[in-house]
Amino acid sequence: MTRKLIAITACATGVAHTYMAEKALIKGAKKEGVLIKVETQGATGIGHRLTTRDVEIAEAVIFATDTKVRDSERFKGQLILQVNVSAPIKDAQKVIEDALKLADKK
Amino acid sequence: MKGLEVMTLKKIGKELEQHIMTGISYMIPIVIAGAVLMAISRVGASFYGISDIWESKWADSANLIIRFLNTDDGWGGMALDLMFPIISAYISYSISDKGGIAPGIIGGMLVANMNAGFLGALASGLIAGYTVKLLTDNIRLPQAAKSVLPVFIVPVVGTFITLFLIQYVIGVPFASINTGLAAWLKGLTGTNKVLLAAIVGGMVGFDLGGPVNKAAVTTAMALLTSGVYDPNTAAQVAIIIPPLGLGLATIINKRKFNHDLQEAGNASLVMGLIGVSEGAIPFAVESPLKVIPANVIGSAIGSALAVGLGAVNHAPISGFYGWLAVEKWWFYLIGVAVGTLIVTALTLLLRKEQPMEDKAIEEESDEGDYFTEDEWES
Amino acid sequence: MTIKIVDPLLVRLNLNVSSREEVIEELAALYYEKGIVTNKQKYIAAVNQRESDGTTGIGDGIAIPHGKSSVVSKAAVAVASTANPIDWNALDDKPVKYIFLLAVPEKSDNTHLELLSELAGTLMDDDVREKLKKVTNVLDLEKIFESEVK
Repeated sequence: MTRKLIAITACATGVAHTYMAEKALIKGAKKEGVLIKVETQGATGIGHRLTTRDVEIAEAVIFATDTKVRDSERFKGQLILQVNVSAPIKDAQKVIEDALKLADKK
Repeated sequence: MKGLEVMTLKKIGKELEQHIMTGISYMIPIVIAGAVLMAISRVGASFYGISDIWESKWADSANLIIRFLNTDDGWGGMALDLMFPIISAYISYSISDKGGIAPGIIGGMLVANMNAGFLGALASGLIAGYTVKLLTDNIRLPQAAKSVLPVFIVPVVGTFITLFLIQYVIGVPFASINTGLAAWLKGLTGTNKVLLAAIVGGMVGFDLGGPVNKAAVTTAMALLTSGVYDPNTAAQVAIIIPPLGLGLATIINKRKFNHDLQEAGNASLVMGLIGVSEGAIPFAVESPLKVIPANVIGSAIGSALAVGLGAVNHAPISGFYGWLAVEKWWFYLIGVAVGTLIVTALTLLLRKEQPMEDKAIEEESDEGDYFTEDEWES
Repeated sequence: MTIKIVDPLLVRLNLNVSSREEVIEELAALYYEKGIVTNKQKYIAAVNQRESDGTTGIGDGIAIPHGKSSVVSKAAVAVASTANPIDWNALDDKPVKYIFLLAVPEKSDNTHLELLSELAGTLMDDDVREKLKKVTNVLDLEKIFESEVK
């Protein structure tokens, strides 16, 4: 079965890194053969909001954030991998592999 | 940065669409629950030869099952009454997060109470959402007082502004549209009955329970009690054409509807059969500019045809369980069928294929959707 | 129709500079001339502040520094390429040749900010990165970042 992840990206200014991290995660996930949905929490608001259904489906959550995650109560009880927003920009595939490992451990 | 204005419009359109789709996706389960509850009651009642199971007289029936069916119909109605509060709440939620729910749901309730229809509910959700967004984005409080914003200022001020705008800015014109149209329609009685039927049908199809629809339906009812049957016949034909036509469209070409609307299509068919025009509402909310003309044209022609061929419905009943009681019911059904097919055909003609359209846009602006919702769910 | 995100008046190609500070100074001066930034020093301070929170060198010779400040009157992007790669302390430790300096106002309508976000997102695209390396004039640059609008 295809593996599924969700992620939140957010940076301090909320204009650049949030969206670069989003694109990086999607690109990385494609290479890894993983399905990912990424919610961006930027200066212009929340993009591609994750639904409770998405949270149920995903094996783990990646927080690629430099600021507080908005509405984080949605992810209570989920496996969360917390990294800096620049981590996926640097090496998204590694972040995704780490998230999958986290899910495997359980 | 030239040309930004065009970009702005496109962005706003896309944003609005997203908010509205969120609202619709939260509303659809309620529509389905309500539709099935009502279908159970009305289909069940038809075995007893009852075509008005919602009437309070059945609540005192000696037959336990009939009593239950009456109660169950009430449950269905209650669920459908929540459509407007819920869609309004979640359009608002999509725009402004949690803070949008209270003003949105209360605004939707007001819309439901004053029969402002789905256009009212759409307006209510947008007003509530953007009001709350405006409040949360622009009110800056000192750290110590910050907590009052979400728990007091946003719900109270947001709700007040939303209700005020709906009641007075939207409500007043809607109410005058309603009374104006009702008076106009009454004045038309006695003119060409086919033309009148087309007008009534078109009005009923226009806003599915909103002010225009209500003007036509209540006038038709009033005339019914004084023994004028044609407007009622027209109205009853027109009530079921939009939900049947749109439901049929989702079955004929699934690819023109997203997952949510495909579900809504089944519910819509059921609701059409049991005589509830609200089944068409998810579609009308999603793309009013395409759905309203299709509904108006289909309902007008269907009604005109039924009345013109001489069908007469003596009762304010539009569901299938009342069809055979109609005088010249075969002509009546021809009217329904033709109207339905027109709505289906126009809808399919006006809509683009969903996934294709999505891909074309997404590929440029957003490479996010490299998998479909079905793959995600599986 | 076509929307150009990059304004040719805010582009400097083949800049002869040797440090990060110099590039930012050059581009900030452009902003100041065009009235996009009303106080150059304050804007540069905001950019440096952001830089000290973590590098904006995103790898592959690209950096996307940005400053959010009340002295910014409207959202914009200024672009520079340098004659020689300069050190930026980037995520991949490679020197930087292409700089996209964003000006972010404290308050802005979302549309302009979304354009900047979109631009940032596109920079993650391998295709775009390849094209960027072949840029020789402003027109090439404009072409990479224009988007089609129906």
